[in-house]
Order: sequence, then C-alpha cells, then structure tokens
Amino acid sequence: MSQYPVLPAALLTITQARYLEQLDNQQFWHYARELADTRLTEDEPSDQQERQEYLIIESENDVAGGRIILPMASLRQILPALPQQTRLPAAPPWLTGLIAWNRETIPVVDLPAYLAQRQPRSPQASTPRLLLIAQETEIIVGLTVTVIGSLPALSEDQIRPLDSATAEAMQHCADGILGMYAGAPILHLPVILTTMVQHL
Amino acid sequence: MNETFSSFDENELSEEDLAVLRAFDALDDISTQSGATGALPAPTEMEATQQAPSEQVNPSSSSLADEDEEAEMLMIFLEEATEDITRLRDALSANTQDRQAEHNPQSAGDQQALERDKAQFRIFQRTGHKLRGTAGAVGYTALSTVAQHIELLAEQVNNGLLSAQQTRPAIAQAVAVLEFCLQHMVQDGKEPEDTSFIAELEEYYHSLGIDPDHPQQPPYQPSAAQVTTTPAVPGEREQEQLGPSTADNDPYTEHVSARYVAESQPPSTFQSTFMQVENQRFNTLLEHTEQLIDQQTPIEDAQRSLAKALQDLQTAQAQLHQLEQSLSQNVLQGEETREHEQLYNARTSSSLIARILASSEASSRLQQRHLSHRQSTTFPNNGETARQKDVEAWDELDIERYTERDLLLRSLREAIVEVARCSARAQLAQTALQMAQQAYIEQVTLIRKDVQRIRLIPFSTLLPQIRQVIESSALAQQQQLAFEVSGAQTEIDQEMLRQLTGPLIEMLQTCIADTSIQEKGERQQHSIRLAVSKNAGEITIEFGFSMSIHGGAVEIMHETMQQLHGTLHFPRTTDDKIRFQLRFPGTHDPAHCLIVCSGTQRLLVAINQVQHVGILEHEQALPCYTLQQLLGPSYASTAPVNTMAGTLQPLLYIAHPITHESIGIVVDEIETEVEMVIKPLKPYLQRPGIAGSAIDGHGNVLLALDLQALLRQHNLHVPATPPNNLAEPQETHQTQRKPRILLADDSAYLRLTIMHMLPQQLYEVAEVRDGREALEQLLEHTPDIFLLDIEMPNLNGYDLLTLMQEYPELQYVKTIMLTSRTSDKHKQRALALGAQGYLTKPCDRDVLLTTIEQLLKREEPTASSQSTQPQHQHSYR
Repeated sequence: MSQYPVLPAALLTITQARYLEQLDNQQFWHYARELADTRLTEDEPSDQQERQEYLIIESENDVAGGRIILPMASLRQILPALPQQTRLPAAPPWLTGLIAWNRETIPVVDLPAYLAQRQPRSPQASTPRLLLIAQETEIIVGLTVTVIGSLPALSEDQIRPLDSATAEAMQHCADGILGMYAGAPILHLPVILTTMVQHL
Repeated sequence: MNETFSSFDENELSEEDLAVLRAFDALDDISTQSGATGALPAPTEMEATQQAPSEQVNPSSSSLADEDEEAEMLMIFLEEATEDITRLRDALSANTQDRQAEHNPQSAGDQQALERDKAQFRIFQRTGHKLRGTAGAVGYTALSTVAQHIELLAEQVNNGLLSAQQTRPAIAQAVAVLEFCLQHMVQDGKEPEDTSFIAELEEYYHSLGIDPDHPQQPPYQPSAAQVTTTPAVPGEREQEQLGPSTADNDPYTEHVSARYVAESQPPSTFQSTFMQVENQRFNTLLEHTEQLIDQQTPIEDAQRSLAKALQDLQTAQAQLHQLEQSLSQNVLQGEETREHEQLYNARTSSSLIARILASSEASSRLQQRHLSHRQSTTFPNNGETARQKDVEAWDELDIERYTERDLLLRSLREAIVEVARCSARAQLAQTALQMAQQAYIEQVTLIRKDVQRIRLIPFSTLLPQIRQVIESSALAQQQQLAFEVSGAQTEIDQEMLRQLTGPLIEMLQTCIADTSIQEKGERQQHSIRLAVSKNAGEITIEFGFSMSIHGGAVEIMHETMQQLHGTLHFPRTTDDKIRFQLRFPGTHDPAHCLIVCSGTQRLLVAINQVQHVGILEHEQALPCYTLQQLLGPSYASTAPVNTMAGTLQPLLYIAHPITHESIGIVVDEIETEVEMVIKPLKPYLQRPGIAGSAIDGHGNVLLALDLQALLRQHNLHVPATPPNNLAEPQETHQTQRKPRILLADDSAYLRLTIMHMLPQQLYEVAEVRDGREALEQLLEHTPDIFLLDIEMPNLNGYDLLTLMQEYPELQYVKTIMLTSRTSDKHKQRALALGAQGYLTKPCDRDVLLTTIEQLLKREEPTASSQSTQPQHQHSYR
C-alpha cells in the first residue's frame, strides 16, 4: 500500500496508521482504490499536478486525525509566524493578537486552537510555525499554523463527505468543511473566515 | 419620578378647550348611565382591565371614584382628539393658502410646492397615526378607522404611490368626517350609531381612484413639471446675500424670510474655487505620501546604525593609536639594544676609525628617534601632529637608512592617520545627513498636510442647501424661524461632506417638517442653531432646535455615522428644546498622542483626552485606576504596580465620563510623545474604549485608547463607588427596591391608561412624553423595564432603541414596544434593534403585566441587581 501513498510517506503519522488499522476490508480496499486513482492522476503530465493546491497543517483535534487540509486559493501570503503581536482586549483565547499587514491592522488567529475552540498550545521549538494571510472579500485574517506538507489539486470525487465523528468534533464549524480526504477534513476558508470574525 | 399632569387655568382655554369641557360637563350628567346604558362606547378589554389595578391597590375605592377617573380620561382623550383634528384642518387650510400664493409671480417654483406637499402629508400621516391609536385604545372605532384612512393615504403619498393633488380632497373629506364624529361625541357623549358615513367615505375614495388599504401600482411618479427645479435667479440671490435681512451682526446669522428663493445648486463660486479630483487617484496619492512619511523610521534606524559604526570606528582608531605607541616603544627598545651591541662589537674591532664612525652614526640616529618619541608621548593630544611631522620628516631618498621595522611602523602610522581622516569625514557626513534628514521630514510632513488639504472644503459649501431646506419648510412658512450658524468655515474632507450631505438634509427636513408637533404654548418665534467645529482632528456638527421636532434623526444619521466612525450625542441643553451633535474623526489627520505602556504592550492615548500628567507618588489622594484594570489581566505588568520599589508611576488625569471630576489612570510608563494617524479598526475588531489603531515605522500595531469609554465599560461590569461609601447595609436596602418602569408615550391619555394598569405597590413607574426626556431618564434613573412608543417627538422609538445600543449602561434594560403599529415589519425592526417585547395598543392588562414579569425574571443581571453586586474600590491608595 505504501507503493501508492496519497500523502507523502513522511506524513503517515501514527494517527494515520491507526486510521488505516480501523478500516474494515471494504473500507480498506475502497481507500486503496482511492490511492491508486490518485496516483494515476498524478502520473498525468500536466502543469496542474505540479502546483500544490492544499496545505496540510497540524490540528489540535484528535478526531480529525491530527491533520487538516487547507486550500491555498484563499491565501494571500505565507510568512514566518511573528512573535510580536498587539493584544486586543476582550479577545477570545484563540485570537493571539493584531499585526500590521499591507498597512492594515489584521487579527491573527491560532487556527488549530480556533477549530478546537480552546487555548492555543505552546508551540514546539522543533516545528516552525507559519503565518498564512487569508482573505475573503473585506475580511483579512492571519492564521498561525504548523504546516506538515502539501497536496496537489484534488478532484471532486476524491473528496468524501464529512464523517460523523469529525462532524461532531467540529460541530461549531461544520459549515466550513468542504469534505474529507484521507481522513483529514478539508476546510472551506471563506466560510471559516466569515464565521470566525463573527466570534471575535 | 412620576410626572404630574399640570393643571390648567380655565381663563387660558381656547374655544375648543371650552367645548371639550362642556362635553365633559354633559358627560358628567350621563356618566352614571355610561356602563348600564351604553352611552359611552363599550369598554375595551383594556378599559375593563384598567379598573382591576385600582381595585387591587385600593379595594375600598368607590364606584364614584372610578366614574370620575373614567370621565377624566375621556376628557383627556377628547382634548387630544380635538387638538389632532385641528392640526389636520390647519394643515389643509395652510395648503390652500399656499396654492393660492403659487399664482404669485414671485413664487419660487414647483420644487417648493413639492417640499410643502411632503411636509403637509407628514403632518397628515403622523396626526392620523396618533389619533388612530388613541381612538382605538378608548374604543371609538369610527374615529379610529377614519384616522387610519388619513394615515394610510398620507403614507401612500409620502411613498410616492399617490399624488398629493389626487389625495388631498380625500383627506379633506376624511377630516370633515372626523369633525362630524367629534361633534357628535361632544354633544351626545358617544360616536354616531349609524356608521354608514364610513362606507360613503370609502366610496368617495374610490371615485377618486384611490384606496387606503390597497396602494396603487405602479408607484406614482411626479410629473416632470413637479420635479423640475427652477435655477436660481442671480439677481435675487445677490439681493438675498447682500440685503440687510440676511445678516445681523453675526455674518453667519440670518433670519429666514417667508419669501423663497430657489437654490438647488451650490453657489457658482464653489465650481470656480474647487476642482474635482478623482477619488481613487487621490487615495493613491495619499497612500504614497503616508508611505513616504513612514520612511522616517528606517532612515532614523540607518542613522542610528551609522552613528554606532562611527563610534566603533573611533574606538578602533583609539586602539590602533595605543597599539602604535606600544609598538613604537618596543621597536625603539629593540633598536637600542641592537645598536648597543653593534657599538660594542665595533669597539672590539681592530679598526679604530670604523668604530668611531659607527658610534657617531648610531648616536645621531638614536637622538633623532628619542626626540621623535618624546614629542609623541609628551603631547599626546598632538599625536596626530607628531605623526604628521614624522611623515613629513620621512625622507624617501634616504630609504636605505631605515630598517624594515621603521618601514612597518611608518605604514602603521600612515594607516592611523588615514583612519582618523576617514572618521572626521564620516562625522561631517553624518552631521550633513542629520540636517538633510530633518529637512526631508519637514518637507514630507508639509507635503502630507498639503495632500490632505486638497480634499478639504469649508462646511459653508453645504449651507445653501441647508438654508433652502429651512426656508422651504412648513415651519418657516408659518412662523418666524431664525437660522444661526457658527464655524461654517471649518474645513471638512469633501468625501465626508458628500457622505453627510444627503442624510443631513433628510434629517433636517424630517426634524422640521411637522409643524403639528409644536406643543401648546411653545413660542411662535423659533430658531435653529448650527455649530461646526474641529478639535484635535475631531469634527463636531451640532444642531440645536428651540422647538420640538419630529423624531427620526437617529434613524437617518445612524448608518452614515457608523460609516464615518462617528457618534451621535444628545447633550443637555437649556437654550434649546433639543440639541444633537454629530462627532466624527477628520480622516487622515495625525493625532498628537502619548505612547504609554501597560505591561509589555504599547498603547496610544490622544493628548486631548488628558487633562494633565502627574506622578502617582506626588499627587494627592484621588480615585485612581490602573490601565491594566481597565484593559484586563492580559495587560498586567510583570511586577505589581504598587510594589515596584523605586519607580515612579506616571498618572494621566482625565475627566470622569459622567461626573466630569478628575480621575487618575496609572500607566507603567510614558514612553514618548508622537503624532500618528489613527485609523478605525475593522468592525469585528472594535471594542469599547479602543478608538482605533496606528502602525508605527517598525510595522507594530498600537491600539489607541478612548480612556473615558474604557472607564465607562469598566464601571459597567464593576460599578464605581466612592471609597468612603462602601457600607454593606446599602446592598440589603437596594435588593428590596421595586423594579423601575419607564413609560414613554406622547399621548397623555395612553400614559394615564398604562399607569393605571401598573400596580403602584409593585413597580416604581416614571413617565415621559417624548424621546429626549426618555433618554435623559434612561441615563439618570436607569429602569428595569422600558415601555416605549414608536411615534414620539424629538426622538422616536427606533431612535431610542438605536441610541440605547451605544450606551453600555443600558444594555440590561428590557424594552417593550407599546405601539399602535401592528405590522410585522415594525415588529421585526424593533426586535432587531433590541426590543425584547412588542405589544400593540390597545393592550390587555394581563398581557402587559405578564410580559413585564417574564422579562424581569430573565437571568441576565438587571439594572437593579447590578447595583447590588459587590462593590470594588477603585482608589487603591
């Protein structure tokens, strides 16, 4: 099976392995076919394959396999995470502060903490964090994440509906999830951003 | 705070009032029969229930007292109904006169007629609405129905669905029917039993092609003739500006004459004085200039780096100099030793002559070097000179005389001289750079200001339109109306003025359109005051009216003020009946600020907020807050403020937002004083007490504080108490107080009815008759329940609901709308604006009391329970 990995081999985490272990025969072969299809798609020579369309980021939500997939379409810029941020009074715990971007004051949100609705975990020194500048019309938000990989474009049939466990675990933002891929939820950033600022 | 109805002097009563009194006397005669004979209309549910509280309050009260009360209320109703019908009749008559006046060649045109129509139909709509509500509440269905016809027809005209000309006869007929009903009631004490006149009236409407209940489609469009504006006649305009009536002593004060001069365009000087600039281009230019000024910080950083490099260079130079000295000394000692050895060797040689020559040469060289060395050590300040002389004494032709060490030493000296020269040149360059940088910054600041000023125009450019609205208003047509302006030359960003113009004009039209709103006894000479000012970048536009105005100003201005990041205030006034202020920041104006620190965070405080700055340890005891207290625990400093030994705590004095007494805000540090452009935060980042944010040259975000708003927000959650007033018994006393109810309704009859419904032993009830009084009461004696009508003078119900959202201290007040507006549209709007109950008049007593009880039982802390929370002492010394 490792011959046709959807995700880079390095990204096959323990959680991913456990996910595979939990699959029954039917699910396993379905997943295997999915991987094989992906490989075939990858083999097609086209520019689109080369372009990475999704980022895989660490999640604080165990149910979601410890990973979240983020489309890059809504991202304006990717920067190293900025340690210096201005605090905003009466802010939710996942709003880490404010920064200036393109001469505008924008909020910075710890995305995994927002999705898990809890305090941000202290970052591990070994995993550098990135600041993704995401924009949806007038809403511009900095998202602090730990990126663990990237993915090329996914076809529609590769995106599975949200499973019940993930839907329950991410109930507060279920509308902002496009579907699942390889056990990881794919975020719909425009909806996530719109909902997010309503909770600021 | 119960208001009492003022008793009136019978000598001052008008003929109409006397007619009402006569009716009352007639009712007295038949009053006892009213219930049994049905001489009075059948009591509505409300009337039936309104007797209940009085029985509860005083079970022994006699039926005679009830009858007196009933008769008194009927009299109040008849008085109000007479006033309302008179208003309708007056409005009709005024229009007839105006129509006749239009044949006058001096008439200013159709635009004026349109304005008059609008004003007239606003009166019809409002008065019809009021009469419908009060008549419906008392159970006079015919009167209420006809009044509703008038309201609906006028509404259709105001919405452009019907023409004024077409509708006026219908309203005239409806008013005649109202008069007929009233006459009947005065004479017989009841409405006519035969209501066929309503059907006849409706037939008459249909004959005119109109239907109060079913508006025409498509919407009525005014004819071209009606919307065409007549251009100003230059001669007339000049005469108006130059004539004695346009200005008294104050050049910006003028009395509006009844004669109207059409003025739909700004004065021609506007077009010749100002040029049009494409907005996007201007914004780009402004952005570029802002970026230019932002370069100041990197330049300053570069300069600091250069200064540091120069310092390092000088240190290195000094070290080289020292090295050269020690090296010279070592070399000299080594040379002496060697020369002595050579001398000794020569002495031991066989040739005496050779030994003498060698000895002489060596002595001569040593003397020369010793001399040179002495010069450099004896005059260390002149080391450079010494080296220079040494260099000059260097003889290139005599190079064979020098040893290799001499050559190295000389190279070192030359290098040191060169470094010294470079250092001097760099110092000079740095000084020149500093001067150039200063000049550059001054120039950039100047350019920035110039760019900002490009878009500034005086507020006076809007005055002609404002004057036109006032001149063409029904109020100016009927009464003397003075218009006073001050600060008209205050300059405002023209984009902001453009945004303001429409709403401002509409607001003014609305405020003064309804002459029927004037209370009895209000003086006949009125004035409108307009004051414009600019202080520390904030623009204030203030309107003061000496008379009651129609509600709706907040509704009209609210959205625009939000867009401008401004606020709407209603300051107390003794000169005017009502005054309101529009305050908003003048865009792109840098604010003069202090950078203060709280913990690790740097924040901005605009200097105009601060009365003065002090040191906590040197000031006398006064209530103080720490900035961290106001901002929250995340702004805590690493060491507790009052235990930081040896450090002086800076203190900012500000005026308390309510008491206006001085109050201290302790900050960890005042870093510096700067000028920064403060921009509003995105709506989802806005917080009470945070005025906006600025970005410094290093790209850091600094939040700008509004200390007064911050204090108000803080006190909302932690009520302020004077330090000496923390006695516990007060809490026990306060928990037992009765819930406060504030009732706002412009109808005295309805106020009295509702007051009777509310058990006085359970509630503390206050009543007000208009929106302005309601706002004052809300702020001074915050109620638990607010019973609010929609249609009211000065500020209407929607205005109040909108304003209440701006006051954090009113967030726990439960508002119940009590209105005759029954449509779902009104209900949804009121609920969206924060009302928690919506009852329509006439309202059942049980429904009202149940609604009040339910709201009082809700879990949120009420205004009363808030005051029983543990008090916090803010003066920590």
